[in-house]
Amino acid sequence: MKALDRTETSLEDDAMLVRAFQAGNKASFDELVLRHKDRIFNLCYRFLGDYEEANDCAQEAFVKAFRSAAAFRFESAFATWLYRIAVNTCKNRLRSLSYRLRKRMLRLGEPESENDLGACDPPDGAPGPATKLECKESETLIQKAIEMLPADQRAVILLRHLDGLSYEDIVAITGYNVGTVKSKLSRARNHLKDSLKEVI
Amino acid sequence: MECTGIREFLSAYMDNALDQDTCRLVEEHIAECKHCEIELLVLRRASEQLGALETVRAPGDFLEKLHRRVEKTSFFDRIRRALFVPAKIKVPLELAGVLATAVLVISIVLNNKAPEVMKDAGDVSSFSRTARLHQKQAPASEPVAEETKATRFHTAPPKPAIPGQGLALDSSEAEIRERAHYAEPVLEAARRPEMPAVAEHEEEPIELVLVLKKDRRDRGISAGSAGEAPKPALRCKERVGAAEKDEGVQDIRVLKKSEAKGKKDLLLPPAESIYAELKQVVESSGGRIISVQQDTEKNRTEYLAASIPPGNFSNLVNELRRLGTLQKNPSEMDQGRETVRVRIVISHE
Repeated sequence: MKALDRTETSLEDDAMLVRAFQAGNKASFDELVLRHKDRIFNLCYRFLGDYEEANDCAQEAFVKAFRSAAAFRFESAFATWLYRIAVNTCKNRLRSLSYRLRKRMLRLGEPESENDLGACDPPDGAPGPATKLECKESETLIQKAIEMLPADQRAVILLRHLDGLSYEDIVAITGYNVGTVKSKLSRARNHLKDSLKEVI
Repeated sequence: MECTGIREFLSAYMDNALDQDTCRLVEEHIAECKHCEIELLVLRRASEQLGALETVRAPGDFLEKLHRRVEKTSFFDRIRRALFVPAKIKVPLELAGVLATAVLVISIVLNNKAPEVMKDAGDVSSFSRTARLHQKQAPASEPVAEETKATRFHTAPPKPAIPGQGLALDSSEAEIRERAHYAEPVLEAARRPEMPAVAEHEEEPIELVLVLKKDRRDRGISAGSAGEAPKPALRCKERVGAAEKDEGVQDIRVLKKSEAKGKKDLLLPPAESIYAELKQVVESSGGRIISVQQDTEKNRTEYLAASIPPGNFSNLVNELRRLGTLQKNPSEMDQGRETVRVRIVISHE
């Protein structure tokens, strides 16, 4: 479990950069993007299960953050706020018709094994980190198991296990209360357990 | 606690998110229950699998693409903000502007159509002129009842006509047809709404009071006189007196006069002679008799209404003076009139 860098220094750095951006320093936002883009991208990828969709979703999350950063009130950490935008963007994308149609076409048009290989190929043709990861059979199974979860359970379990966020962070990001987070996490883990019997 | 209840806490137990009491319960149960212990183990392994997933990094041109995306969306975002932010103020104003523009366009379109309507109005004015022409050409209608505002000298107000009490006056069939011929266009004019019939009292009749000469009064029916005993020509609804033998009575309205009280009975000639002479006078003046009032009890003509051309009015007056004296000199006629209505009141005293 990889823990999010939640040291005070990191949080203070984020706040300072946001203030600088609010003061008019556009380059400060670039710095913020560089600090958080991989985590956000990874979350989007695991959430949606598609590289292109993840790229588009992550970009959209940062665009939203860019537009709203001027009004950021520092009531929470910038990372928490950014995660919230990303999770909501992914949920909206799951509900979008175009995404559902695309997933359906992928399932119908290609056999399972080829579909896995297809998901391993990045758009530029060159093998990248996504290619190595997606080609692992176990990871494919795990990814499929994640995609079978409902959006709310998916968000909770990914935030918990991808970034090692605490219940409090998950509460701040999702807006659920603690009891709901525990309940959803329990159900998501049980579903995964049932789906990953072969792997386990 | 049973296994079902314990398994609900295993996930939180994994995360050390249980309170002490619940945590102790779970631990005690797991120590005793192999199934729950395996269940916990499986849950942990599944969670570890998730944690073992490699982090998929963003593409290298992520920031560059983000810049392009921000610039692209900023343009549309600026427009959106300019138009709709704040929505509570701008949206109602914009809706009001759209409505005002729509109303303006509609009014302009309708105004462009209005001149076409006005063109049609011109035809109406010519139509009304035509109506007036027809009005002038229509012959004077036969009055249903005598209604006149002219001063009455020695006459009682005219009474409504009682159909059928016709006296056999002028029974000329040809004359009746001639009068019917006069009446028909009048009736037609009355029926046509665009050409209203000439009102009976549109031109007030000129009242002439004729005091008959004594010899005229006492004159009986003389052979060869101008007057002729009227012959019945049309069938009458009611038969009156001696006219019962006759087949028909001329359809001229006859107004019955009530008895005059206190008047001396004079030996008056039959009304036919006076009427015949008056009729001759009227016709010689180019006019025609419209109505006659007769006192059937005294058998004499009370008054007679006629229409004559205005140019022959003086001739009429001169002829009447042969029969008697006109109590009042008639005024000059308006030569612009097409016809003149006269009411000749016969004074037998």
